[in-house]
Amino acid sequence: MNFFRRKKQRQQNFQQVTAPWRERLYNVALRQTRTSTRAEDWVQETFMRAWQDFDDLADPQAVYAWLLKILDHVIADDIRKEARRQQIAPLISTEEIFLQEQHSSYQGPFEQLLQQQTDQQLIKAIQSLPEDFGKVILLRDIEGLSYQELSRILDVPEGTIMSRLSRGRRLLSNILNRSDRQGSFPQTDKRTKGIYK
Amino acid sequence: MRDNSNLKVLHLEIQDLLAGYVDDSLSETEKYIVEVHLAGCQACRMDVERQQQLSRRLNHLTHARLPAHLQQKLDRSPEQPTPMSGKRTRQDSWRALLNGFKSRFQIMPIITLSGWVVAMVLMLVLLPPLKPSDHQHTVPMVAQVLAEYQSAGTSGQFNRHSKVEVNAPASWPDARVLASWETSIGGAPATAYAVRSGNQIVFQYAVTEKVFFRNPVVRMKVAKEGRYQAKEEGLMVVALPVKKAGLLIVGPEKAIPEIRSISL
Repeated sequence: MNFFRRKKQRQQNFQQVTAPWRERLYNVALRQTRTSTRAEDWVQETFMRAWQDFDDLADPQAVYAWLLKILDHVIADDIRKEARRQQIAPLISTEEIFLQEQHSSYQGPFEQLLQQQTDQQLIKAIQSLPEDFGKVILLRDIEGLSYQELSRILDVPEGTIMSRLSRGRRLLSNILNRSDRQGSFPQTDKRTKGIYK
Repeated sequence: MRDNSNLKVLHLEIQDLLAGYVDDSLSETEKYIVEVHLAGCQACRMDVERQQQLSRRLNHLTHARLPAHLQQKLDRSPEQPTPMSGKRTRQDSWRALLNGFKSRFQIMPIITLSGWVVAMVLMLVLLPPLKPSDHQHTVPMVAQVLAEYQSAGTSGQFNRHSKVEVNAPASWPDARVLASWETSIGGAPATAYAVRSGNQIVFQYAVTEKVFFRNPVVRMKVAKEGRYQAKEEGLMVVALPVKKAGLLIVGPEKAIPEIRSISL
């Protein structure tokens, strides 16, 4: 019976450590897709993989970052599969110079514009960003994670996190500004169409 | 000319540091360089201001609640397969059903050898002797719930002392819910409930409206008599329409309550 006792203990530990993060993880997933069922699938898959790798969790204090990293892989795998199914061209490099050179042309009170946007509109605007930019904004500005945590989750240096965040926020400001004038969120690149479902 | 192009490169490089400046994540040297640049660059000053406002606004987004059904799924054993929605196969459903029992009742860790003996005795007492049949019933959902009832019943995985704090869709005076689990009926998600009715066990299945009214025989009977019922080998299935869904009650004929005593 020791085996079963140990197994039950492991299950209890797992639930105890991960359960508090379920809702936040669901929100992160929800903000990266347009269908709640897909977000639910991602979350379930994340917890299943987390259970399999539970013994690898070195620092229980960093459990949320660990779960976010797994979620990120789950989403990437799913989007890759979906893209293969739909034979979509790969994402363009988000480091392209034109993204860096974008300047906001918005001259009016930006804060006022932000307050007028509903949460849903803001999420939609973030979803219309190239994937790498949307992700850092989501994890930094909405989830409040540090650059160090983002670097660990996304497996990129902190400097890259900073530049993506700078460019992403700038691009998001422009998108919000344009949507204010045109009434809809433009796709930043046609080739990303279909990636976000 | 060279000075201008150098300034432009510096401007572009500093733009990439502005998020770090806003988030106070720069080294002292970087911070100093950025501040010197900001003093002479209006575009970057505006950028910093917008980033601060954007960051503040995004920090106050409302959060969605975790759906109850997802919470329930995550509460189950993490080892349990979690099929992607809409891609569930019949085999997956069976596995989910069996795993649902296993995780809900925690059979392996809890029931010792004597526990198994008790479970076997309970099975013999609570369930009538049933033999497997082919279930050539004309209504697929009815055949499926009959098969599930027999299969689950013969597995004997009921625990008399289990307490489940859920309400089944239908209740009657001597009914008590023993267990609830997610399954699939007619290819669509359904919720099943094991209910003790007297000294027998009855299953209830909350199925989707689409599945419930798929069969014309059921549609006609429900339209005329308000319900559909079928009997097979001592078992009975009663199909009742409920609000935007359907309910199937399956169990030994004697354990199925009178329609008038059922509260929905």
